Amino acid sequence: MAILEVKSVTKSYGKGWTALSRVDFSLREGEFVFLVGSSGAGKSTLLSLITMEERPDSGKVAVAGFDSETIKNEEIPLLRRKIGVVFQDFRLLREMTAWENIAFALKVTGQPRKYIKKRVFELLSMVGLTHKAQSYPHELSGGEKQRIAVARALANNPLLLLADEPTGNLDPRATDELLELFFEINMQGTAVFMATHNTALIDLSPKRVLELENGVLVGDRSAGAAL
Amino acid sequence: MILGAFAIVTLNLRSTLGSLKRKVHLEFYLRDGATKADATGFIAMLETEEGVESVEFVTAEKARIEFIEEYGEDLLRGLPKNPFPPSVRVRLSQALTMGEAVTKLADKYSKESIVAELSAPNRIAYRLAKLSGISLILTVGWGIILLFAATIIITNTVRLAIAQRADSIAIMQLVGASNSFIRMPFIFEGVLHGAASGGLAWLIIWGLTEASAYILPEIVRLPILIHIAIVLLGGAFGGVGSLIALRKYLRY
Repeated sequence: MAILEVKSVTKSYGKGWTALSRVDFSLREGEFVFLVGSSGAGKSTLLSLITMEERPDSGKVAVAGFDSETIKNEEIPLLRRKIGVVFQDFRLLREMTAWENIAFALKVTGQPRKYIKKRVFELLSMVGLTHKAQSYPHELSGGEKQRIAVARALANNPLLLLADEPTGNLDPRATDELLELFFEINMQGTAVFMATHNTALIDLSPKRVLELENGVLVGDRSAGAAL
Repeated sequence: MILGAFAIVTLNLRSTLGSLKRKVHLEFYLRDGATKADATGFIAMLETEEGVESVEFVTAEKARIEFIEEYGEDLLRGLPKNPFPPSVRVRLSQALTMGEAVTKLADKYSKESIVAELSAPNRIAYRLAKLSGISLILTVGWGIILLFAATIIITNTVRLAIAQRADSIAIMQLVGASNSFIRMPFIFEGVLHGAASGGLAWLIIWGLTEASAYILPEIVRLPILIHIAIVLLGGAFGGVGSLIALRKYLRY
């Protein structure tokens, strides 16, 4: 069953700059997909359309039961609870500890305190950072920060985990560790859609690869096929 | 606070004016020896005039007693038995400006044969009436301007708060916090700012009024409802300012 459908989507900005042009693909439940392309290819734009931060100029995006053509503003928070997002710059709150950063995602969605405590502990264990629960972001390494960000993205049990260049600020070792974590998460049933311009990542594991070039989808390589 | 100060000034001006109007009257002093019967026709004409609340025939004796009540008997010692002539006293309706009614009556009746002399209200009362009207207009005008300005200030304050918390707002939006969860703290903050400002203004106005009462014991205080209204209005416009800031600066 498709949890994400992007149908003939076009998005332009200003005069004459088309970020995406008639992009068409879908993502099944539990699938792991890399989205590759150079800087400016349209990867981040595509991710912002999936989170409904923006709407396409034409075509439609359907994700987790919501549709860009019909979704109301007050429904967007409900969609966002079904999608976890991880960014290159981590986006942790500086004034909160690792524990509090993860708990924040549960607090704002109205989860009870007891559940938050249990869930945060589970997530910290999953990412291997229970010993860093009381550390602030400035006390964590790049890899640790990103793993906390992943834990936060998983807090509300999303159907789909979006990652926008998650390894962009990490060293090779941290990159490998993070990728392993994403594969583990995927094995547990969460679909993963990872945007990257690092083709070396793709070589580490043969997953489906979508290739974006100047806003156009130029390739859709199935899992296992050579790039 | 400025609005409250204007309100007190207006209230006191209108109170002073009202009490002056109650004391003020036109007095047509009649020729010597005129009786009530002589004045009947004159009184009847005055009673039909617009702006006239009451017409009273004051005997010479009554005039003398009123004088003694107000100023004492000493001034009358050595004078003829009763130096006061009879008069027709006209009280004017408070709904009309005194200037119009007085001028109209004076022009029309001061030359009547029964009238020896006319005593009209002091110019001060006219000026007070004018000042009271101007003060009311200023109070309302200032009120509108200041409420508008207060709303803009609170909108900016909330805008700064939104900018300061941009990071946490972005995360809240990312993880699916509802609109109301994100907005409520800002609305509450705006209402609190507004109510606190209103409360502070009330405190200053109350303090100044009480302090002024030592010098002017007759000072009219603002009714309790106005005090409550100042605080509530502050809170309400604080909330309005927040909503404007949220609509303008918080994108979802």
